[in-house]
Amino acid sequence: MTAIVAVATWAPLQHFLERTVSVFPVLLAVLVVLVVGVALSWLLAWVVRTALERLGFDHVSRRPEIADALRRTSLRQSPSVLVGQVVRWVGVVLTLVGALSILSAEATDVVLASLVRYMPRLAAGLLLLVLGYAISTFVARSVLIWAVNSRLQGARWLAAGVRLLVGIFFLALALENLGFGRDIALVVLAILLGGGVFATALAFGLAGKDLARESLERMMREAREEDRDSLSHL
Amino acid sequence: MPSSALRDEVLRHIESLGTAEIVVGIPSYNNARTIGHVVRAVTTGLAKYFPDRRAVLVNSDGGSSDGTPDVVASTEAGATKALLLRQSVRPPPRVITPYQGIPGKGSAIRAIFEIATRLDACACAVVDSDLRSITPEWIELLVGPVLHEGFDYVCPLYARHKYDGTITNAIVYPLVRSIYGRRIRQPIGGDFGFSGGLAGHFLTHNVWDSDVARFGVDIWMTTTALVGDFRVCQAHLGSKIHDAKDPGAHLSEMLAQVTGSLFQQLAVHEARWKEVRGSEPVPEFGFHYETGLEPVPVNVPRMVHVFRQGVHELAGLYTALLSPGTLARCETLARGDETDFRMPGDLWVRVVYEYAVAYRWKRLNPEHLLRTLTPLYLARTASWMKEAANYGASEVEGALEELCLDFEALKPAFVEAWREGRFPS
Repeated sequence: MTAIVAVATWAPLQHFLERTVSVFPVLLAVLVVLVVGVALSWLLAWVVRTALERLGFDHVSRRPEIADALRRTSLRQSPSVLVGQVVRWVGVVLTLVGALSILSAEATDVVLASLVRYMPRLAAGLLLLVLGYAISTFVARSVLIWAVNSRLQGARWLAAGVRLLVGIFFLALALENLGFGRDIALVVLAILLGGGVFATALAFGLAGKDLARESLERMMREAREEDRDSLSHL
Repeated sequence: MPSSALRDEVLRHIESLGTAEIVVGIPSYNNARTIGHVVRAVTTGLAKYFPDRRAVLVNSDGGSSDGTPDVVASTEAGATKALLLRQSVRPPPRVITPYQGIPGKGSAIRAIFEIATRLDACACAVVDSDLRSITPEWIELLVGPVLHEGFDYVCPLYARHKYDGTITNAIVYPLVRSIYGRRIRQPIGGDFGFSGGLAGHFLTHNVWDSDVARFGVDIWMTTTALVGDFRVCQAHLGSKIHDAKDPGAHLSEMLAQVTGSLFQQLAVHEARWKEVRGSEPVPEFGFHYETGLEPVPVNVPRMVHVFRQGVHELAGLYTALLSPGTLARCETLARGDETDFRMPGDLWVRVVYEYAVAYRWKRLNPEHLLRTLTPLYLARTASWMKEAANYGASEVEGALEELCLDFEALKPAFVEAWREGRFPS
């Protein structure tokens, strides 16, 4: 009986201990890779951030385009800190991939292969988003300044609308590029554009026809007054 | 960019003319209605004041479709009796040519420089093709100081209404004066006289594929003559009446072109003006008289409205362009009552200088930066309209002198800000 109990309990325990002992070096290696990798990532991030700060990289953030971009994305950190964080997280991801490769080379290969296959699309999508942001900001700013100089009311709303439309257009392109909602994005864009124009036409043409008439009359009156201005600026 | 602004057949024609002492150029583009009068005034002026000098009239055309070159070719000289001339007016040889290069007044004038240099001219003049008030005396006043007094560059001095030329009065004149230290009242007048040597000097600059070729040639010529230490003077030409410029052209665009050209020249010549302090007068020729002060219809409330809207809507952009102190003063002004509305001269000076610094340091896309100046400029213009409402000619010049002195007083701070990138509050 004692022998049976001993066999029933000791054998699995022994098996577990054997497995543990055999896996222990692997786990230890994974742990070491994780600790060293994360530490190195932090160290590298600190080095990059300090170097950029000393090189005056943060002056970039004083440029209005960058300052605007940081403000709009609610990023409070300086550009040096941001670059440092990117470096750190890239390091962490590489560390995780390294640790995974110790556990299972096959799984790593699959993950890496998928990642590599998807990388160009991801990069192109990100590029489209960045490009869209830059273009929408530029166009919106142009519209805002033009509207103010032309004495149009609601200049900010006009600029915001233009920014939204351009932004959605590029978002649709990026999503299509990533393979998400290939048709949905374009349909959304078409609905927004068409719907917007239709709604404006209805609101201005039916509900606000008096307002439309007054606005047009005012514009015509001001144009006539402007013609009468014999001011020569040059 | 072609190495020459002239075609081969034109070069052969110029060669056949040999040399000329005087070259008068008329850049044109679709000016058939007005250019005949200009040609008559030029030919009569040459015959009346320089009868013994060999002169050539050049029409540098930008591809007019209304027959402008034909009008130039067929226009007879002015009536001799009416102009009290003893001898009959013999028209000078004419070179009528389309120019090559970027379309614009700069390219047209480049062709005139080239022809003047090839003809080995001593004195040259350029007059606009849409002038209605040009008289034969203009030619004497633009060419005479070069031929008889040895000057290299003659700027025009027009008699203008106190409300006219607000960009010149509020920005160009004070800035050119404080930066380069010379009191040139109309640096972008449009009609100039210059020596053959200066024409050759202009041609040595490689600017003919830039904005200078399009619209910035006036200020470029003036600043190039100033920093090149050429002898500069001014000539009283009287009133300047010309065809209205493109009525569709927006003030904002015009202001951006002028200030952009001015700021670009500041950057090009920065080594030459940083040490300049104060200003000195420039010799004047001709007879000075004043213009009428009849009321001119202007809409001051609309200008104030654009300013207020601009300060409110463009606040985010102004934060990047103006110092906190200047922006705060603008915001206070925008909140104030319209009856007391007045942008003080010292505030306007800071705005202009801070814009120049922001342009130099590329704080914003240049086009955006320059166009955001419009509401602030309109604030200054509205203030001027109110301030000068009861001014006579001498008071107008007195007020402008005060503004110029403000510009000169703040120049040391501007020089530092130009170097450091930011104006101290």
